[in-house]
Amino acid sequence: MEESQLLRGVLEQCVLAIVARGETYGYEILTRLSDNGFENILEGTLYPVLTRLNKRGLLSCRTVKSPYGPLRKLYAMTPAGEEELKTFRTFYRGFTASTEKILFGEDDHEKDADL
Amino acid sequence: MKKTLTYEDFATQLTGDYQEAFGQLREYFNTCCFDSKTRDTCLGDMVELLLSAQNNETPVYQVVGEDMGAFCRETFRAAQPSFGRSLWMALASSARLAVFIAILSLYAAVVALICGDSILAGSLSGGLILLVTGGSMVFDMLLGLIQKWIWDRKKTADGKLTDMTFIRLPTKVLAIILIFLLPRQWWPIPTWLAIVLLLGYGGVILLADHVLHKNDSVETIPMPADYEKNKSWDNCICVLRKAAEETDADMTAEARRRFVRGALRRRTVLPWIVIGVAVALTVWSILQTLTGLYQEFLRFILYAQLWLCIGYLCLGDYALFWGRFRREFEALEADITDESLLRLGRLKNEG
Repeated sequence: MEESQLLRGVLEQCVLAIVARGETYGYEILTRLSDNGFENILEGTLYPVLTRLNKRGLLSCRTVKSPYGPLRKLYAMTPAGEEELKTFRTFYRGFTASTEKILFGEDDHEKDADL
Repeated sequence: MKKTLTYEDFATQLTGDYQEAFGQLREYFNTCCFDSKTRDTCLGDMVELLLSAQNNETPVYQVVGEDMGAFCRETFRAAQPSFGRSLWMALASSARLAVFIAILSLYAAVVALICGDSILAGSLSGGLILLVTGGSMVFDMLLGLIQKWIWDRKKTADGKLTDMTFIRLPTKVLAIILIFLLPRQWWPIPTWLAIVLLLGYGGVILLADHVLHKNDSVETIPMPADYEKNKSWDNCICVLRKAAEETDADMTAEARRRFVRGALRRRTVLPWIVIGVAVALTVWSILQTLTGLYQEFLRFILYAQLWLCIGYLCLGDYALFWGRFRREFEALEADITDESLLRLGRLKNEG
């Protein structure tokens, strides 16, 4: 199964959700994603995702000096990002409910019960 | 004086796999990203990311993945400005140069008018400024396309790269000749002295160039049979391959230096232009003594050519630059699964 494809489809929104919890930076986002099962799909995708979200105005970005020396980009949510996340959450709830219904469907249970 | 630290300074803190990953990323960007600001910004971000991973002892493959090629490609794509923006930046840059030269030329025309020379010069200059700054872009694009077409044919025919100077050099020489010839009568020195000075100047530059580069090693370009899969390889790709094949970091740096030196040397066309001007001046002097009837008409034609050539000089490099950029990027796309770029994957497996 193309598990990674499924995860990639929601990666942007997951990044938005992580940033929504507070201003953060690339490595921290990457760590949180890895801790939550995204470790195998991150090959080069996080930086493009952050850049894309920033270009679309869903994330704002400022730079500070990191403890290791170079400048670090800190990402924060914008009102547009919050709106996008809110919309996606609503859509996702409905989507997963429908998907679950089909995948583990009530119809099948009913048929099983009839038999 | 306080030194401003760059990503290169911080990159020295990277070690082992992190260093290797960054080295490959830098190689990729140095080869295919011509916008230094974009490149520096992106590599700065990557140094920060890798340093964070290193200090937290996160394995490098958890940051860049197992396919280093994909990581380079995706990162580059994300950092790259859009096609439209790149085009606009290149055109704006060329247009600024064109306007600058146009103003200088206009000044020359005004001087000619003040000196009582033909009024034709002034009116032509003013009108052609607009014509050339706009129209030369189209002209130059066409020229760039023709150059690319010829290059593509030549390089696939014999498997070797063909230096486009065989077209560009004569065109540039012609342009400079015209620029020099037109106001020749206003020069404060005799023609023979100008010829001697130009020849001397060109000779000195050629000699200096020879002395400076005589010890440079010649890049050997592999035949297509060596890399059958790559139909669009070129100098940059060959250097990248060569660098990737060499395990010694110093040798890699040396390979790049050799390439840069070679590229610079090929661009040293100035002495040839100067010599061409001198030769043309001689021919022109002879012709002028033979013909005098159609001088005004000839001047009109020359001014028109002059402005077209100025436009070409301003924008010619742009077209070739863009063609090269696209080609190198496409070649890198096909090339990035190079053996050396898979080293990180092996490191992971061995680990």
